[in-house]
Amino acid sequence: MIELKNIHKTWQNDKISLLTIEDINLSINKGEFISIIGPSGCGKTTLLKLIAGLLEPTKGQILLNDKATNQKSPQRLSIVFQNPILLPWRKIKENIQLPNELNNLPLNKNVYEKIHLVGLQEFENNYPDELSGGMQQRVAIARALILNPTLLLMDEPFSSLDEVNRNRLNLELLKIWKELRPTIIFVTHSISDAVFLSDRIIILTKRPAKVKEILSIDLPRSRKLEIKETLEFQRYVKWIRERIE
Amino acid sequence: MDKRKNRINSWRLPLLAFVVIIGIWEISTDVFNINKIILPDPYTILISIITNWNILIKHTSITMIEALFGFIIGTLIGILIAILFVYFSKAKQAFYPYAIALKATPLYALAPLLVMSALVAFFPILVNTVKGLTSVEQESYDLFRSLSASKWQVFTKLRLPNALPYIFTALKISTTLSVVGATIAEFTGSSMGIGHLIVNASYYLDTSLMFSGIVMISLAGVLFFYFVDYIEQKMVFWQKND
Repeated sequence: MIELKNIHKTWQNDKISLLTIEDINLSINKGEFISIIGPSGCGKTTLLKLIAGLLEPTKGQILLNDKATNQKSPQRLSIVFQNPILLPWRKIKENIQLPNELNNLPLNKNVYEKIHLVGLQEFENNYPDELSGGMQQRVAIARALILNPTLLLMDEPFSSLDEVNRNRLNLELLKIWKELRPTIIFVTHSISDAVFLSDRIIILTKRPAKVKEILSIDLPRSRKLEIKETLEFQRYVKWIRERIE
Repeated sequence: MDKRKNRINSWRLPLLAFVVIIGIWEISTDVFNINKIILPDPYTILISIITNWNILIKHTSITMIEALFGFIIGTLIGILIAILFVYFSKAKQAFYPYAIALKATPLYALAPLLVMSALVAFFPILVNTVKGLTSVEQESYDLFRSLSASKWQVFTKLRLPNALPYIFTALKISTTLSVVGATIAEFTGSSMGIGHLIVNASYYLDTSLMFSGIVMISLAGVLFFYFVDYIEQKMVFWQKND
């Protein structure tokens, strides 16, 4: 379980101090699929980095399974960023091995299983620049899964892909989620993706970001793309859009 | 197939340009009746190279060894200081202005031999290594941090490979610079090497020998450049050359 207790974040440099996140309280259940959505520049990424422990909150506390994130503990969390950030001098397989390598684990631990999971077995010996954007992002997902994280943080991971690829990866992500059951926090600016993927959607306000609404999506699980055409789905989308604009 | 075709094409034009320039040179020395002491024609230079082959090879090797040593020393020191600058910003603040000032000094007039070719190789390497080590995207650092990488791992597995293309760009600049550096240093500070030979030949008005020396050292410099270029293609294979 993840708990955020009155989180504040202020950006500070010599000239300005800017409040980006104001008093966010959240609790996220184990195995839940959560999307965070809000106007661009509102601090979604900052919030994700706070949860990842890459940034320290100015005020407040973040607990992962009752432990503070800033405690140096082997937190089982992985991040998928907006860009795949693959190392161009490493083959696909070697890119996926990176987390093992950095943590002094056996290099091949889980590697083939995850390559298989994202369907890249034919490309393990290719270099990143030989792959399309969608395939590169698959590599990033495989890499993020290699340590079997219980928490997967995703920062607009498919935003640079075209719609066909995005839909395909959304479906694959749901499949992976069903199989491995990590908690997923998914930052996106696509309302439709958020509704399609999530159990709950957290809508943030303009900067400074506060929680505006939390919306449960009561659509049946094992969702297929056709669900986007249902009236219910479109009602959710409309409801959210009205609250973001 | 395409690659090979490209390679042939990339040789064809320079070769044509070479033939044209040499041709114009050869003809114009005849037409304008230029004294061989002022500007010998290519054919005379060629003959001079053949007759003085042994001496030229000997002096060229000496200069190239100096250049190579200087190049290696300059490169190593450049990379080390760059790492120091990147990890200790106070060191950079303290010394960078002096490094620039040193670069602006007419070193060619001051330094002897090895120091010379090391110094000229040093600056491009320093500047580019600093740039390469610091041009890593924030997201990559975040990735490594989220995977609890140590500082050493970030250096060896992220920053250093990221800097390699920058370092090689500088290495290629430094190849020719260090050859020129060694040659010029020999003008005054040496009784051997191609620089010495050039100055000596010009003293005795043996302009053909002087040009032979220039041709030899230029060729050696070009070979040196393409050698490093070849290593670059092997080591920095992920960087697409245009």
